Amino acid sequence: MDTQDSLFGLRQFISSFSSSSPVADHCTDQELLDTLIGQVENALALLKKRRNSLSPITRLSSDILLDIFQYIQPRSRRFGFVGKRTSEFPFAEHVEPDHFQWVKAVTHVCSRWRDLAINSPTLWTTITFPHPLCTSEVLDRSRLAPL
Amino acid sequence: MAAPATQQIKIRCNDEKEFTVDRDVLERSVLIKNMLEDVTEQQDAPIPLPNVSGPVMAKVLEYCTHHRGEPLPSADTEQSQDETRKRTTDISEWDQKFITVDQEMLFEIILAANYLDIKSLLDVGCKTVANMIKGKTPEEIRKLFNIVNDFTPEEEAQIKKENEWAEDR
Repeated sequence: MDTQDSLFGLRQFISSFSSSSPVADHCTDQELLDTLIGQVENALALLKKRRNSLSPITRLSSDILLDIFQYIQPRSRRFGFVGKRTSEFPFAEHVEPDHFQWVKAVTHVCSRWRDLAINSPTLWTTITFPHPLCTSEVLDRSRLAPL
Repeated sequence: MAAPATQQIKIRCNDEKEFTVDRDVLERSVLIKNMLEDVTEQQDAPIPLPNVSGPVMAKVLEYCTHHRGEPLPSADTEQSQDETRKRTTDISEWDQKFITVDQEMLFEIILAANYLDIKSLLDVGCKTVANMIKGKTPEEIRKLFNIVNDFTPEEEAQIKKENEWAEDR
């Protein structure tokens, strides 16, 4: 579904509820409503992606954006292990409070940045141990890049 | 005895704006340097630069003029310096002042530096954007670059999980 279709579908959907008829007249069960809500949410996400594509920063190519992401990574944390120093991980370094800030900055802003960051193994070559799931996720993202 | 005259090269931007510039200034751009090396005879016709506008080229030339004479990174040093380069976002005072422009111009300079292959200028641009992002929350970053949260519910759920890892420390 492209942006135009998405916009058209959304307009039609919204207008169908703008009359005086109660929602229950259109949809009779929660399952159907949940499906409709899911469709609207996905259509909205598509429209927002289109909106973001018009922002000046979107003109920067993925290569340039990746260069910028690499500069955002904490300097001393590019190599080695960070996390809680425990008997299990005696070689771990202390995690600074802002250690996750760069991760959030590159993966929690918008879908384009997130897709690019997650699919760039070289960004994930530092292993973190703050949470077992996090370590596993970072290992997955690093793919075949040397740690 | 007078110093030998520097060769002057003419360039033409995508808005027809032309500049006549000393060859050594223009050779900060690897793209133009290679173009000039490929030309055996002296050419009077301006070099067309279809991806750069006049105002952006004026800024690029300001940078190249200031940094003329500085050694250009060779392919060997480039790779070895790459890791070190990535670790610091320090920018010299002059470069900082130079790159203090509005966002539109900043991105245009970055794109021009990338197209013209001026590595040091590209670095200054990327470091500047990185410094703008550093220390900000995702919401602040969106506001800064006029972008909106466009995640699907599935992506939002994954992000929520990732935030829990950070809070679990």
